[in-house]
Amino acid sequence: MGGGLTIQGINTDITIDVNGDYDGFNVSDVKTCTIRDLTIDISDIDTSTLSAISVAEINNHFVQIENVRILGNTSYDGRGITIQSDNVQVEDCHISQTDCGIYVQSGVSSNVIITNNSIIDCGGRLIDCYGNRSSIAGNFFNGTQGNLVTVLSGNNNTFTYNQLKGNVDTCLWINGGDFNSISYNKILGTVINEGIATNTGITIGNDADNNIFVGNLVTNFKNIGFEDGWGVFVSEPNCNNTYFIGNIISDNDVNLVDQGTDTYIN
Amino acid sequence: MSERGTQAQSIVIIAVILGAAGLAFGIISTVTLLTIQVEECPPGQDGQDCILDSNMYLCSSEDELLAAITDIGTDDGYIWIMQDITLSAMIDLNSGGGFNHSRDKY
Repeated sequence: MGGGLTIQGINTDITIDVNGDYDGFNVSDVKTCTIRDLTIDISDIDTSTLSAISVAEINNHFVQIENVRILGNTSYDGRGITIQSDNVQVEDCHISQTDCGIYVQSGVSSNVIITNNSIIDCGGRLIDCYGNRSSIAGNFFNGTQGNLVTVLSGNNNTFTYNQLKGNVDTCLWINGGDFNSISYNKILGTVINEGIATNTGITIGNDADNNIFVGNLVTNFKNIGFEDGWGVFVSEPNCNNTYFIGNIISDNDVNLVDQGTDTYIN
Repeated sequence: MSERGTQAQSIVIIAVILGAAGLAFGIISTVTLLTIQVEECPPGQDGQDCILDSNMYLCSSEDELLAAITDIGTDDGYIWIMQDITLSAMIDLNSGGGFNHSRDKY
């Protein structure tokens, strides 16, 4: 695959300043497109659904975003990247102080690849994936604002070799998706002092079926003086056929709370 | 003046004339090339910011970036951002329907 449009900075210090409340780049109709080696400053975005880069390629042509730094500010507005079409790759990017880091929209986004990115200190979810058949691998997620860190809501996604850290709420939430494969991730919690009701490594949410977890480390979800911190929470009886194979779920207040149906643990 | 001295003077004059002609040719050629280069640059760029016979664009402002995107259109193109740029509006990467027939091609 070659050709198409490439927009590249001569180095990553080159900054595109989005100087108002609008998207930076909107990729809507291209042969292929690569945006790389840039910094995009979105500190002037005020709307949570606007993005540094929005990809809605009308024909689902390949779009690559590589080595792009996206910087918000402590008002945590706007998204880093919004994906609304198939065949998008995001790699080696750094996103911080936005609302959502990467948003993958439901029903229009499949085959999205998100690899080797660093997404930290966002006001909302660091990655919010409603797409199907996506691969999320080798990323570093550090949630510092007490929100959900990563959310998988689609089906048949793979989530591997990521490192997740969170200070409150859930590090990885399977939000009703089915047939997702979650393997070899490090999911590291924080000891919360008091007053926090949720502090969980993985939550399998309402009506999530046939998800498989292999070789993950889930540790250090602890609360002091309040409710327990949980390593893994299978939350509803309509969570069917959840498989846990070869995971290390340890040093949490409670390692596993299973309210699902036909949960398999080995 | 001797005949030999007259011949030497003639040779010097001829050399000066040839040199001047060469210099003039060089200047004219250079000006012509620069003129061509300026004429073939996409709108919004100055003559030094485009490279002839390629789809490579060196952009240092929002106007140049927009002009390069417009000039590339449905072709292949490579845009280098040379310095910090402040956007006054969203940059829409939209060929205007130029690829809507080609989903199975790539």
